[in-house]
Order: sequence, then C-alpha cells, then structure tokens
Amino acid sequence: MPDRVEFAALADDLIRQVDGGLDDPEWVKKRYMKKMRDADRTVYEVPFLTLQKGPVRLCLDPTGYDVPGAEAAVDLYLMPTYDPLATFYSEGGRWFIHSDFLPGPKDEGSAEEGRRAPLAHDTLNQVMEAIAEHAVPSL
Amino acid sequence: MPYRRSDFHQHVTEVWGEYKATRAAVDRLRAALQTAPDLAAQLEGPARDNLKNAHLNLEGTYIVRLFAAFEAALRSYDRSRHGDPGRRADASAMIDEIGGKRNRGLPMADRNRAHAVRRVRNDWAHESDVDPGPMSVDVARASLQKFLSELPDSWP
Repeated sequence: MPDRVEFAALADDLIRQVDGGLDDPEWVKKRYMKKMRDADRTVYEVPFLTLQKGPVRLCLDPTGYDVPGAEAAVDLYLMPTYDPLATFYSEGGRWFIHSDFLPGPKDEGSAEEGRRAPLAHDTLNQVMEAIAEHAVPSL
Repeated sequence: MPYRRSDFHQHVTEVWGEYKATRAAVDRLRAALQTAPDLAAQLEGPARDNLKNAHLNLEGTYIVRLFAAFEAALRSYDRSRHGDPGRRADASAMIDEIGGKRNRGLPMADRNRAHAVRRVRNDWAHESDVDPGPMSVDVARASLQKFLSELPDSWP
C-alpha cells in the first residue's frame, strides 16, 4: 500500500503529464503546492494544478492514496463551483482517466467502459478539449 | 502565516466527497438488504434500527457540515478584515457584509444562493420553524464554492 511519499510522487507524475501533454497553447497552467493531512496527523504537500482556456477554469486536485482499487486518485474540477469532471486513478502503476467527456464507445461496450480509458496523450487532449468546449458550471 | 482560500475550498470539497462515499455506502447496504434480508441479523442494533433515518437524513447532515466549512472560511476572512481574532459575526451578517458592495461586491444571485444554503442548514440544525424546501448536496456545494471563489487568494 502506498504512503504519502509515494502518493506525492504519483500526483507529481500525473501533474507533469497533464502540464506537459496538452497540445493547445491556449491552455494556461499554474502549479501550486497543496497541504494535506495524513491519517497520523502529519501535514505533507502535494502538487495541484490550475488550468484555464478562455473562460473555462479547471483544477487538478490530488485527493488521496487510500482509495479502493487504486494507489492514488486525482480529481479534475470545473471552477468556480467545483463541479466534478473527471477522476484520474493510478492502478497497477498506470494512470486511468474516468470521465463522461471521454469519447463514447458508440455501439460497443457498456457506458461504464466508455467512461474509463488509460491515460494517453491523445486521450488527454480529447477529454480536455471536450471539457473546454462543453463544460458549463452548474450555477 | 496567511490563510489561503484554496485550503477552504479544499475542505468544502472533502466534506462533499465524504457525502458521496457515505451515500454510496448507505445505498449499497440498503440494496444488499433488499436482496439478502438475512444480512440484517449481522448489523448491530442501532445501525440496523437507524438505517432508514441515515438514508433520509444524509443530505441534511452533510449540508450542515458543508456550511460549517464555508462559515469557517468566512469567519477567518471576516476576522482578518476587521483585525479582530475574537470577532464572532453570525453567518447571515457575514454573507451580506463580505458579499456586499463595500467588500467583495458579489452578484445578488450568489449571495442569495449562500443564504439559501444557510436556511437549509438552519432547518436541519432545528434553528428555524420555516421549511426552506429541498436542496441537493451538489447545489449546496456549488453555491458555497462559488461564493468562496470571490474571496481573495489569501489573507493575513
């Protein structure tokens, strides 16, 4: 089971992939450090990324490492309402993205399968561009 | 050390996330009991006896917690603004003063949404005789996060 050190490293890995993997130069990205409190009350830091394209503002927010079925979870939210858009899970050392903004499976597979995909360069860009075009705050 | 608005956003998000996990757990347990009633015998008395109320009261319980997280942010900022670490304004006054033209100047709609969550909180905390009507946890979260987003990035 990972600990907070490994979790911080996993979160850093994902943030770097997203930060460096977006093709459209219109994405403005800023990286911050976020404080988290571990189960033993120790405070530690993990990276946190904000992204903006036009009026669409997002934050990529590490959630934790004690998640069922995954070594780490990182959530993507739409600002300012923090509407959930996607979750990234590290499973077996590999990142997967869960999102309704993934291209659908069309006539094959279940809706659940269509909402989950291994994180890859093209997949990341498809999801982020779909979000930039279609995501609307709930309020 | 300055207070960061992002930390308060994070707390609200964590409470909302806990609600999601708890709602999923309660729903799963109720569904499991429907298909396998023998499971009921494995539940401890109070847990078994109060499962229905846990289901019915879950949203209210977490709206109270969401609002507490939101109010903590407002109070921190309010005390900083007034230079008074012991200041204790009530939530309604803080929403109006912080959201008002002389401070953050929020749109009336955003202030009204925060008040709407406050009234739901009051109802669940048995502080009100007026039924504010239903509100989902997602709407409460979005309303409070939107208000908070108008505060400065940090304050002393």
